[in-house]
Amino acid sequence: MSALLFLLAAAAESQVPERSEGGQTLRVSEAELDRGAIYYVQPGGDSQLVVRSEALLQKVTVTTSRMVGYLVAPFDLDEEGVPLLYGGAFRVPVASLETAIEGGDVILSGPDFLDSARHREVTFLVTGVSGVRRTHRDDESARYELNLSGTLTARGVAREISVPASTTFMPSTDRTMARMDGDLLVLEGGFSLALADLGIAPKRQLQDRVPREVGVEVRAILTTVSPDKSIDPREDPVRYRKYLRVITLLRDLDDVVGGYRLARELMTEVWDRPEELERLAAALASTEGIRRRDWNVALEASKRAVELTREEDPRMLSCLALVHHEMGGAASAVAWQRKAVERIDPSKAGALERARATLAWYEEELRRAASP
Amino acid sequence: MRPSRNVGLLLLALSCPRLLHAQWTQWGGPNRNFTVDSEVAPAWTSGGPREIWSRPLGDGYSSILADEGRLYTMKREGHEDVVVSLDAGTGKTLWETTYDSPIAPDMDVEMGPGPISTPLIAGDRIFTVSTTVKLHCLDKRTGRILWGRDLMKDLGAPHLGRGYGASPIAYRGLVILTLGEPGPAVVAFDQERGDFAWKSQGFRPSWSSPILIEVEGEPQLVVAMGSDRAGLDPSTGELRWHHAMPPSADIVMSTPHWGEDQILFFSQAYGDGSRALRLEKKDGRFEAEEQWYSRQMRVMFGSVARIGDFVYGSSGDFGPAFLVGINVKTGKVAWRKRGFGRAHLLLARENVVILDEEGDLAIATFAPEGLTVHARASVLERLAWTPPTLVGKTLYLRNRSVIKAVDLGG
Repeated sequence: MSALLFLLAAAAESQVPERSEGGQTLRVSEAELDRGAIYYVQPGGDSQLVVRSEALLQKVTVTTSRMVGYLVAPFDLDEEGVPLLYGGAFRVPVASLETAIEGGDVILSGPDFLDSARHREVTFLVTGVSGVRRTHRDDESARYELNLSGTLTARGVAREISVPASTTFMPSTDRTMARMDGDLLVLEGGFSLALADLGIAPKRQLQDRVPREVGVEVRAILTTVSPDKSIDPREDPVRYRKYLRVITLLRDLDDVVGGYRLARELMTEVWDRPEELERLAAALASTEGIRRRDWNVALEASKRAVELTREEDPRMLSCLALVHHEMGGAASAVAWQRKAVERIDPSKAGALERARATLAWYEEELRRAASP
Repeated sequence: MRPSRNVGLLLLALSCPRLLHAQWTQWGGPNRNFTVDSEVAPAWTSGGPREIWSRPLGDGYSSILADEGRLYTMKREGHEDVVVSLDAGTGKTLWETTYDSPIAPDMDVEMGPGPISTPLIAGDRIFTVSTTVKLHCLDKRTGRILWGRDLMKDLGAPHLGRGYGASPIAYRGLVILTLGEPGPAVVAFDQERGDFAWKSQGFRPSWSSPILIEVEGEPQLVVAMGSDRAGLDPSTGELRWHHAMPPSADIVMSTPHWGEDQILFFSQAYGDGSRALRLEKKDGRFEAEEQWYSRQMRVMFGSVARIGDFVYGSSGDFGPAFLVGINVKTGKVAWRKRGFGRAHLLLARENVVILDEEGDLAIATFAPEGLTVHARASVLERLAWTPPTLVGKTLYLRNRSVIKAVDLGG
């Protein structure tokens, strides 16, 4: 039986597309690209996935906003005889799941639960849609209720599930553009999941803290603009995707070795481009969710950006100050931020005010560090 | 005995020197619809078209004019706009004229400082409009400035945040520009001295360039501005017809396309789509009746090609771009095809020249059944947002740094 489950899991996982080059979505097949409009999950921002675990002695809410994936919908929703969705797939990195309780993340990703060392992502492959019913339609949106069938794979175990869900299509308007670019699709759904179905059997000491079933809620905003794409025309798309990949590896997948190797490779490529060095350094130093930081790349990159701009560009100077601050070097942070303030054009009042506020904060940190 | 056709053409060419050089004197070419009567080879012998010349140019999106063996375009240097004339055969600079055009403090030029607008040649003069809406008239042979007007200062013309982008149009002795609120929507000046001729309407601004059409024997200037589409008498600015579109159609960049069947095609991205209006004269008044609307084709800035009952164009804004064929009479999509970025189309007899924003050039045929790409090569680095110019078999192209000429003769 377990061998059969393993084979099922392997088959389902193999059908879930790999992550894209930048890592912020999945590789969509040529056939799907030709077939319909692709709506990509936009990772980040709101919690997309909430798992409620309510046991007698403990209530835990697990969240993540790092789910990636896509749905394929018809180009024309009004076309007769076509399904509402042609397919889709999702990946949720186990390392991104947050329990908000001490030690909870480690237990969740450990071998007794989601076993991230062997299976670093939970996946869902859409296999069918049924019971589609349109519940709302106006000039700016159309909402459908449906059952989404698919294969959920966690810790190497695959289960066929059916999820009552709704999809709200919102073509791009002034309203939607205030939120994000592109035509939008809001996916909402929820289901219960028996942990035993995934082969999870908590040890005795956890039994009163872990229920038999957990509730899973999904609420994701998808857009026709791929998160791997920058709409800034100045951006080199290849280097931008490499930058995204670095952040994906470090933040979403907690892959320190692969992430910093790629970061160093990117730093070498952009060694004469101060803006890109600054972006890389700032991201490595301050992106939330990176659990393990190697400061060497951020420091090298920010120093080089300052050197290339001859200590004249306040943005580069502020970045170097930030890196020092994040590393705990309060005195260096103050020194570099002071230079940044001095280099800001006095006519740019807003920028000057923000830089001064940052300097005041660093100075306060320095005072605290110096006090016994 | 009748002379052969070739001899006849030669005699005609010798008697009319201008015919020796095909003209591209305004945005969109001879008829402002990116359609030329030129034969291009549907295949290249090597990996791409033969490069005739290539040289650095400078920043800007202005397209390239060709007239009497010379090219004209605009570029940006510091705070100045530079109008440049080049030898069409070699790319060598013949003259450059600069004028001050500093970016306004409230402008957002992350997409580049421009210039965006394409100049206009009328007779021996060339007219240019800067990002900050300064209109100049220059002697096209020498580049000497004959007159200029600051339309932001004089008429309250808007710079649209990212810079003025529509291209002027000539009608008889006038040069006509679309401006938009808070200034007048459309204004005309005397070509000779720059005297103000007329102004009309109060539409919101746009980047879309106006076109001249003839409806039931009457010339009309068609403008797509904000969510207003209108036809004006180009002599006086008097409104001939008006069609209000929903607010979603407010951001319009692409040029309207007019068909012999009196169907006007408009397309815009950013949440809107394409519409067809049929113009008719009823009881002495012109009426524009909307035939259809479709979100399935959303042309952001590219030029479209009309072949028979179908309009072909590059659809897409921030998301993926598709080449789409749509029936202009019904609004039904015939097909869509991936593989190009947002692109300009240029119709040269039975072939279509495609230039996408990644700098990929292709020769293709478009039909209701689908698209056939005959040849494709990378000829420019991204971003290639400027539509190409085809003169005979020579295609002139530019991006934000270089300008080049390639041979499409095969």
